[in-house]
Amino acid sequence: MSEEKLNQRAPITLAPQGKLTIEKASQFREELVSALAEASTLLIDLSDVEEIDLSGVQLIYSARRSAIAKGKELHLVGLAQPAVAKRLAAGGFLRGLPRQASEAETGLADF
Amino acid sequence: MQDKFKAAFKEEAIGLLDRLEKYFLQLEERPGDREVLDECMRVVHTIKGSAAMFGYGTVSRFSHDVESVIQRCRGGGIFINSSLIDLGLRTGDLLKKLLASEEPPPQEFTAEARDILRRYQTLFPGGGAFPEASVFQVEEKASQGGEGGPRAASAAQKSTNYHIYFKPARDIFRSGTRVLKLLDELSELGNAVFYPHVDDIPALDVIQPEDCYCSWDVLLSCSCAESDIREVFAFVLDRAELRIEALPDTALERGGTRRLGDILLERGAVSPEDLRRALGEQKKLGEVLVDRNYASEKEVESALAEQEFLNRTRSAPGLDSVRVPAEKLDSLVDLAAEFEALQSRFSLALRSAGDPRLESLSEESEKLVSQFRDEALSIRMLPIGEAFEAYRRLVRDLSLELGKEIDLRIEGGEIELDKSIVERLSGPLTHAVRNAADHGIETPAEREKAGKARRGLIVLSASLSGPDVLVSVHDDGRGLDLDAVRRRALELGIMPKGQSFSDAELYSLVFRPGFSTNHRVTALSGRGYGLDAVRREIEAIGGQTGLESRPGEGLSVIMRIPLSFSVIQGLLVRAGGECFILPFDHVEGRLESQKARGGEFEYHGGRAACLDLKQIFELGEGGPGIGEIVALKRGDCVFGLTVDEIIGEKRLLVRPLGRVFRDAEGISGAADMGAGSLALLLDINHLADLAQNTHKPSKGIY
Amino acid sequence: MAKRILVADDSAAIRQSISYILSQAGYEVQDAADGEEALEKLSRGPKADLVISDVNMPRIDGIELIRRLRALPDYRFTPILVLTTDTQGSQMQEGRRAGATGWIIKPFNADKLLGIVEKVID
Repeated sequence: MSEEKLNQRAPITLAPQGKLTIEKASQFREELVSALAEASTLLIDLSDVEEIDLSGVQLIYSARRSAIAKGKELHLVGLAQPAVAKRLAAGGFLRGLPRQASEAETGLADF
Repeated sequence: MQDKFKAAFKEEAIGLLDRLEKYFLQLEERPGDREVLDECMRVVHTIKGSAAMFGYGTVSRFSHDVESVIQRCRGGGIFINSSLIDLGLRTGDLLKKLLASEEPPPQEFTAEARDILRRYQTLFPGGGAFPEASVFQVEEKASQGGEGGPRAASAAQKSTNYHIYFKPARDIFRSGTRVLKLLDELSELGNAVFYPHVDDIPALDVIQPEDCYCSWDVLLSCSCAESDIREVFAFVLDRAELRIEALPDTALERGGTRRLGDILLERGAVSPEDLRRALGEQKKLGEVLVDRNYASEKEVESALAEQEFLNRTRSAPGLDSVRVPAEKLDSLVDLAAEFEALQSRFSLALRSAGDPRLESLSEESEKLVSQFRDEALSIRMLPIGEAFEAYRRLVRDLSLELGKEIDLRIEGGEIELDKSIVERLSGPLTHAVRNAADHGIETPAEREKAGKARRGLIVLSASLSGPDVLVSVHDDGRGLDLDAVRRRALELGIMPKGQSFSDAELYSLVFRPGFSTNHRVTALSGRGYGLDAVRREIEAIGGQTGLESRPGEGLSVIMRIPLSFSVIQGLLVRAGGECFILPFDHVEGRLESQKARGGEFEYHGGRAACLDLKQIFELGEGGPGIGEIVALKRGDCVFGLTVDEIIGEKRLLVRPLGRVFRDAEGISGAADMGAGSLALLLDINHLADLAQNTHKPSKGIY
Repeated sequence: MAKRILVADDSAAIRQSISYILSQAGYEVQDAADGEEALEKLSRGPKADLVISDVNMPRIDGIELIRRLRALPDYRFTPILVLTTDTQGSQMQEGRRAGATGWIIKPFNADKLLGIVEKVID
């Protein structure tokens, strides 16, 4: 993530709260779509997410795919809460325990 | 998953069995006590009820039989004697062993169970309908060949590597399946590495948020069978593609699976196990506390009655404390220490910044961090009485073994010490108690001949003295053999031939009040008392040992252990503007209306010495009108202490004063009262000595 | 916050014993004697985290209950377990086709019950 690029246009941060689970999946997809429409750089902050399931994880990957297709950037920021990190690790999505903001992203498999 | 409950049940059950042992010992003292018998019943019933639910079949059946026995005892007409109590204790021991082992238990345990039940049977007069011990059935099942249960058969000891491919159906979420949870369950079988395939996840405009697009390759290393793995996926077998293959050991090197091999290297560093440890997975205390007693389908009629029964059991004392695994405490303390270290670095850095506001914040933070550390440490404190209580059983067993009659008395048990110290004391205490019982206390016949009471006494006591805690094991037996001392002194050349020391001289040669570490004492320790081992162990924790003895009257083995801190119950008093703490178990009472006269006060019909706290520490004069007297006791000596004000009783964490102040007479330590003020803990022994030496009233109470 | 479980079975004995086991383990339990009562309680009351249902019940039976639940927005993804005596399959198959998450085979003991509940509840 270069300083230059970040300064081009202010990044938009999406910080979902509470549960990122299947009951909220459609809603989360909508939020991602509109956020990505506005931003040239989208940051997703998972710090306030208390619970995540596979549908939530899939949407994050899906958003990344869309971003790349539109020539935009998408990064994960924030610290995953223990319960969330646990679930991510269970699916093999997480390489280690993210300690810093930048690590939350690089830790995600094939991101 | 079930292991979660099983471990919690095991902890609970062991706690219950500890209580059961106490009850049996109480029952021995008071055979007619029905309440204690009822308590025994409750404990066994509770264990019986829950055991089967957590895989402890033998424990359940055996408890059932024991319950019948206790039932018979409650019916009356059974003489509760030592033999019966012995059996009871053996029963408790066996139950603990069964809890620690796997089902089915080793043959020797079931044999032991049958032996115990047979002996119970012989103790009951007139035979009568004694329930056919169900523990026999276990033996039969076992002899029918093979271990029971499919899982036991598949419990291969060898660890196998499996490759698993799992692709859930697209609509799997619609059946309420939680895929990540399923994978979590899989990882609990052993060591697993997961490789998710995310390529099929479409972009946002195409994706169906409620569909599943992922699949996994998993490498699992476990000592389980394929059927165990399939069991995890039992509910989704028809909603997913599942392939399980056991891998030969060299499979990972060959070309076909090379990608997985790379991943194994890359990601293998973090196994789910590591992650769990890193997260410090919290065990819900609620799970530990909940009293789980279940009814099977057949017992449903009495389910409500049982619930009522449990409510009564739940209100029994001792359930308001929590059993916490020792590692949790240790890691908390470590964290606290790290926290404190960080805080110091912080403070140092801030000091050089020179900002007074930051400095004062840093000071506040330092105080909080110390407090936190103190609280964390204090959780590790155990009343030493708990360790002492464990010796009741030992003393009892030794008495029987040696044919002697010995009572155990405990003093100062409320003093709390860090659990690691308490643990390290157990070796020396056991040694000393054995010695007292074996070499110290005489047989009842010998004692009667010597004009002593038939029953010997061993006293375990703890008290605070200066910055240390004194733990002593005292017996009223034959004391140290002076002839042995004499011989040894000769041998060692301490007593030159031709010169003969008197008894008194020998005695004083060896026993100085205090803690000599010179050769003479060491030599004697090797004379079959086994006390040199005690010395070694105590010195290993930075303490000192000593002996005090009166030939024919008894021996005390004294261990002086330095404290880093201690929690005591104290009486807070004020004198001359300073706060002091008096150890509560030495406080006899307070006399508000009396004033000391001529250094004495009236107490229970006599006069006793009374000290003035302000005078002792030169804190200024008190007027004749103010002051209260606190009556204190050290051993048999009662004396008074005049203070300005008695503030009240408080539980405090006390630390020793720094090395510079270690020799300060009369002060054992200090407690932080907050807001930068300290309260000083008074040394009872010092005060008592002062009282005895400076005042000799006409009619003393000593 | 405790998880909520609804148990539907026409046998009072089963209802009571399952409720007892689950509540002792810390779950909040509701029960219903048939499918209709279950639907009523679920559509009106607080959301359940798990539904356990027998197959043979009067008025609305277990299979129908599952179908109707899956049609409710709140219960489309909720874990549902069927209680069944039939190990062969037709009851289980029907249940799965209707959208059940898993099953508990009767007779079962507390250990087994809690194990399966733990396996599927979120």
